[in-house]
Amino acid sequence: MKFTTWLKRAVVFLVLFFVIDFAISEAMLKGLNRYFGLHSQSDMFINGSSMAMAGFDKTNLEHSLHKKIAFYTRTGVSLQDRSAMLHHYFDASTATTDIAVFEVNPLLFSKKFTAANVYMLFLPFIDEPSMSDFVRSNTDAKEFWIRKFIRCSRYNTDMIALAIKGYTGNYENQKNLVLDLNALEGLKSEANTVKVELDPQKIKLFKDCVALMKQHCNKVILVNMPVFVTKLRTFKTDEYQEYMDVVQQVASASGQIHFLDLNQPDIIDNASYFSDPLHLNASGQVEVTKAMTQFMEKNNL
Amino acid sequence: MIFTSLNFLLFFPALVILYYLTPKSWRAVLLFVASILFYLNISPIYLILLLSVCTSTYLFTLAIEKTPDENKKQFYKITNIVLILLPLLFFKYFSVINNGILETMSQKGLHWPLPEMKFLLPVGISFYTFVAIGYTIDVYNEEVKAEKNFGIVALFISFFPLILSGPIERAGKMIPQFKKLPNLDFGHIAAGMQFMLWGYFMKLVVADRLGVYISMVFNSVPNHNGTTLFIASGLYPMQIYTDLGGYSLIAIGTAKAMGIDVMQNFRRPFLATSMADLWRRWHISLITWMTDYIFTPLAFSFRRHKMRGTIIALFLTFLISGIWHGANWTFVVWGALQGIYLSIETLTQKRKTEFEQRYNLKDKGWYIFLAICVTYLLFTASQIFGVAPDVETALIIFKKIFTQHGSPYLDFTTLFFALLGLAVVLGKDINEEFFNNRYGLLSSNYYWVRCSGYLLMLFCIILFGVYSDGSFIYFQF
Repeated sequence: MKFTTWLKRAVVFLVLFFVIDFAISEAMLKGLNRYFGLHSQSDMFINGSSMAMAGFDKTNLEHSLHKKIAFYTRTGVSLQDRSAMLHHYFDASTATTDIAVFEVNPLLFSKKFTAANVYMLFLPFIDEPSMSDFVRSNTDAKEFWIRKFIRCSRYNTDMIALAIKGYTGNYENQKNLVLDLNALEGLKSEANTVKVELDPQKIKLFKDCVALMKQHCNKVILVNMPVFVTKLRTFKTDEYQEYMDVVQQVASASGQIHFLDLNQPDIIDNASYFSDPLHLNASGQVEVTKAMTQFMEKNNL
Repeated sequence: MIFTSLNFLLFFPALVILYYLTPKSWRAVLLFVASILFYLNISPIYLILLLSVCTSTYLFTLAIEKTPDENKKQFYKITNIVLILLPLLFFKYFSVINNGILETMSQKGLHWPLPEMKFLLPVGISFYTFVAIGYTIDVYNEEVKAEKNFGIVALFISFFPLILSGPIERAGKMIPQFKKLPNLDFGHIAAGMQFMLWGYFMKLVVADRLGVYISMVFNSVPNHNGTTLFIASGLYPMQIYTDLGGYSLIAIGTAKAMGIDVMQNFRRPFLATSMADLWRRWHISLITWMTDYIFTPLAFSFRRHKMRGTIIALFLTFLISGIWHGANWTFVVWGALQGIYLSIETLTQKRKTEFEQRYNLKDKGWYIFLAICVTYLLFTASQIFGVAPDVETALIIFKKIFTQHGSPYLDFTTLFFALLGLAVVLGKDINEEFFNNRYGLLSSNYYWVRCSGYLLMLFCIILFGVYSDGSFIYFQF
């Protein structure tokens, strides 16, 4: 093969590669933005981890509350990541959001709870300043620039699935697993033994997050997500109470902040609502979404 | 620096450019330096071991060729084989033997003076040892001449695309190529890239995604029912095929881009219609190596026992293959099973052929399909011993498969993308086997069709690839 022919073909190939790379990544970014409600005007914004992701049905909440909701929740995120998500959302939102909902749980202030590769969840937003800094600080230069250069490398199958959900508007919890109570028998012997860590730095970060939400929204709701009763009882009672005190103290510090504790007996005692001790299944999602709606209606939110 | 690492993706194009810019007479030196750097990047401490094997093989092969005395030739051959096998045997089996003795002695209240020692197996040791042994025997058998240039011998043994997991090449094919490296040919680069693309697709899109599901199931056998274990067991051979097959294609492509031809390692193995046929298509370089250097000498020494001798040789060859895979009873059973399958096939071959001819079965689609399925099932059954940590677990898996049915555990997203990729790989195999590659996107005569095929595969790799671990199954051997 002649060098000129080879070169011509290589150039055409590269041009096509980068055009297609751009087109696919843009389509997926649009889908993700739709899924999370980024770069759009919303009345309400929900920020949380997989517990909130499994717990709230965005579409149902929108119908019952007549509000447009941005649902920015990710699996495996720590408080630091959630703080980055808040900054990202507020930097990207086009107008003021009326209500911010922030998921809290007993593991929120734990020091250990950090995943090394969590930055990968935010790769699609690498071109936005707030996320670019966050990703850059969590990865090496080589990886960072490859992700910048080849745009499709920012996505994996989970993100593709979320982008598709963004286009189809599907926020339903599709987990129909029900807790196997026999398998949880062992947890009973662990009652009042599991530490609830209260890292002061994490508490400070939490307060900063609340302050940021107060700054950008008229009302803030802190939602304590439900934990299956047997699991809840494994937490050391005093430490769990201390955790609750911190959250309630922050909530009561301002009339702008409300607190909803979903660790209610009618939810946490019902094994058929959970897929595992920390995550709700489809039936649990219906109940929690209902509880959230009632709380907001009751408080005129 | 393994093939799926970012470092390799930067190292490889830089090397290819440098390779073609280097004067022809210096290219072998460049390849040797690159091979050393490649190995240094993975296993720096064990580089000394690799260089020792190269030196020993170089000196002994020269000695074999030089001496006219047949006894001395034999002595040099055996000495070199023992010398280069010792490290492999030590690293592979020392811990197992030592632990076994420790355990037995302590049960009897005795103290064993050697402490418990655990070593990491030097990466690629099996493969470069096999290459060196093959070369020594070939020189002894006068099939190739002993190479006078140490650099060429060292390059042949340490050639970076092949050192980690093969294909296990022969001196007769590789040394002449290293001595006469070709001119720049863009066709070679394009062909090499094509192999590599398929390799990456098989490894990252199929093998690693199947691996996510399979390890999830086999890591907790007690928690899964027979149906789930049946699905995972059925997929495991596919995982090995796409993993080692993918690795081999990347290796072949890497060499091809530099104008060096390397043997094919897999030839559509799951379209085999008998176990003997499967072993002619599966891990070809290892099987031909074992045939030439283990089976043939064994069969020759048992020749007076006629058919029984062949069967004993077959059985022993696969037993050795099993033990090579790991110092574990599971691999002994695995090897024995292959031996049993092939022995039965050898014994019944004549009757089977007569039966097939009488009813003209060889051309019938349903018969071919049935034979493919039976072969796959037999191979899958043996592979359960390859994946289970011990014989007891393997037997539990079998028991559950036959007795404990229920709704299977299915990780839909993982399986969906893995099976989609697998369908592409098997589709390619079927196209090559039955349609003479008529419908191959990448082999089309039209540039635009090929270009679309390349782009499609590239985006599949980027979007659907699994990038968490990247290590290859055969690195452990």
